[in-house]
Amino acid sequence: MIDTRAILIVSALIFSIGLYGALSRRNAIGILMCVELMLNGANLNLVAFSRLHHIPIGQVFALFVIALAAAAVVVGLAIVILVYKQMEDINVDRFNLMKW
Amino acid sequence: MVRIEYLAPLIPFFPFLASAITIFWGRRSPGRGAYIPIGFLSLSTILSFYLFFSLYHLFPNYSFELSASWLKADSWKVNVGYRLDALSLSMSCMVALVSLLIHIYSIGYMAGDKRYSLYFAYLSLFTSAMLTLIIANSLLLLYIGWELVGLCSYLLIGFWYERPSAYRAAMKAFLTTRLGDIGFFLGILYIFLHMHSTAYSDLERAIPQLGEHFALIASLLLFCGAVGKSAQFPLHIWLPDAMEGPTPVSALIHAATMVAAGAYMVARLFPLFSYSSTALLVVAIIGIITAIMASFLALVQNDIKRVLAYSTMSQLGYMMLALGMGNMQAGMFHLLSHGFFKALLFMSAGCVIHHLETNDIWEMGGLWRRMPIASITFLVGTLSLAGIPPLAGYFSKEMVISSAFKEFPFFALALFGAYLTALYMGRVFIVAFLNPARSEEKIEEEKVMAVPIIILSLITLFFGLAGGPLVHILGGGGEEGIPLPYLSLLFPLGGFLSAYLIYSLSWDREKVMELLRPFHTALVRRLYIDDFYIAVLVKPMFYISKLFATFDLKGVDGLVNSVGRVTLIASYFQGWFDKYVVDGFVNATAWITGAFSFLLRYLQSGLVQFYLLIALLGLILFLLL
Repeated sequence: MIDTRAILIVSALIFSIGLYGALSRRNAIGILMCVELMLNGANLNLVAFSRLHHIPIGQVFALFVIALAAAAVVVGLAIVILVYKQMEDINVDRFNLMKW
Repeated sequence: MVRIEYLAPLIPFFPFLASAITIFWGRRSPGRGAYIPIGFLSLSTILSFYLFFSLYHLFPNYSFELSASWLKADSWKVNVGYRLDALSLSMSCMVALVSLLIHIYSIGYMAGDKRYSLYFAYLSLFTSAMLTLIIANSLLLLYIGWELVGLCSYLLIGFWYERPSAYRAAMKAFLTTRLGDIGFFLGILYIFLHMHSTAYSDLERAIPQLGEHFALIASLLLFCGAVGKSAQFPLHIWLPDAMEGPTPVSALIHAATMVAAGAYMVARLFPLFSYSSTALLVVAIIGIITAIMASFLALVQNDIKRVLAYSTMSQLGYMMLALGMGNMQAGMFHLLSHGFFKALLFMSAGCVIHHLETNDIWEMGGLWRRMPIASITFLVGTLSLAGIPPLAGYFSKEMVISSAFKEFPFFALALFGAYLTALYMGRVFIVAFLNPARSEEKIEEEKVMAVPIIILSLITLFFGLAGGPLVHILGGGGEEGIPLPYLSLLFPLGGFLSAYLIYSLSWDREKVMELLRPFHTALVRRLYIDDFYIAVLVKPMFYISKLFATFDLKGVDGLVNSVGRVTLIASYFQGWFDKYVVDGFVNATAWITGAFSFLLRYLQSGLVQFYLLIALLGLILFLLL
């Protein structure tokens, strides 16, 4: 049986990679993908603790997060497509209309 | 059953209606505003005479009264209504008829005046008010009419208000009569306080219970009003100046009707006056003083209208004398006959003035041949005024004088007054009509002016016959005056003779004039009564007003101004405070907000990733802490 600590380290790594990607990538789709990574890192965490404590709620919650992530990505991709239609670009550095 | 008495309110209503119409549509109505008043007034006149003659057989015990409640509180009640009896009906006949004739006469006299229609409106309003006064059944309604005639008198004296003397005279008349009216109003209040009603009928019923003291006070207060209105001493000063108005106005208001309202009022309230012998004595004394004094004053006037004004005063004095002697019938008879012949005199004089455009008798002369109609009518009026039979004035004046027979001083003075009357009227007639003229040019007399004066002359000729019946219907006793026809005839004839000797024959007047100089001066100065009023009332009044004006200017205005100045200074400070402190706070808030946002706006890059980074850093900071 895999040690819980190892799983937690992996999940922290996945989360951190996702966080770094979300903050540093310039491609909007890449950012969405990184957000997915962060969510999955968190899922792994949930599942790990669920297994450790034998509480199934954690797994149920993870399932919810997967479903919601799928929905969120749908919305996010739709926004990206619309933005692309407007600006013919998906570089987020150029999305600074809200600047003062 | 409909009775003819119910028509009586129409008598004053017709002229009122005419006046209202003429005020608004005068210029466009027939005759430029003259015909409507004349038409309505004819109706009033006919109605008055119709009522008088159809009720004639019921007099003297007949009295019809109709009144409606106006105000009512507890036992206090104010009624308005009218009373028809021999007194009010005979008076209203005289007033309506004279007024009608004067309206007609005015067509000629006022022709070409720029306020022609307004003149008729005022004249009609006056007639309406006068008729209201006459048929009123309570003191309150009488008072309303009384003040309204005063108002019309004011308006008509000042009708030619472009002339300073006219508006001054109007003011003088108004204020002087007002002085008397204060007493009159107090009298009404006094009566109202005691009997809770102002109706004559209530008054007549209540007098015996209220006693002689009440009668004395009430009648003296009311008599103040009569003194003012009828120009009796000492409030007579306004009447000569009132001659500034158009001559028909003088004839109607200041000779025949309004000034007689005072005597009428005393006659109307005779039950009250006669209850107190002291009150009657006061009335008689005031009357005889006025009669004699005015006759003297008339002697030195050169203005024909002023002579007539003083003679009006003196005849009103005679009426008061008769009333004061307790002979109400004689007073009323003299009032009515005087109304006719004095209107006649004024209107004849008006013809002369209208054509010669002067009032000065010394500038006239020789009118006997130049204006025969005016001269003859003036002669009729003069003889009647002096009391020569068979004219109306003879009968009425004889009745007045003989009513004073039992009181010797009054009797003697009344006879002396008759002498003076003939003297001053003889003077005017000789100087203006008989003495040699400056020009012999004949003057065309206008028909519209001639007809009314001819009618009035005829009335004056025959009105004497009405004396007996009139006294009877007014409730006079059987005792026919003391038969002194020769004595009372002697004095006027003496007066005429004196006038002839003095003014017609040529003789050296200088020596006599030298002797009479102080007396003459005193008369020309109107016995210093006007000067007395100016010194005692007018000057102090002006002084007090000046004092008040100074106080107003310095004290009240100063206070107001200093309040203003203090407010100004305070508001200056407040403005400063508002500008720098309150606004400062507001501006400082805005400035601080601006400064912060200047710094903070760099945080708002618009980049999502930047925000996320900040959120992460915030989270880390939070966790670390």
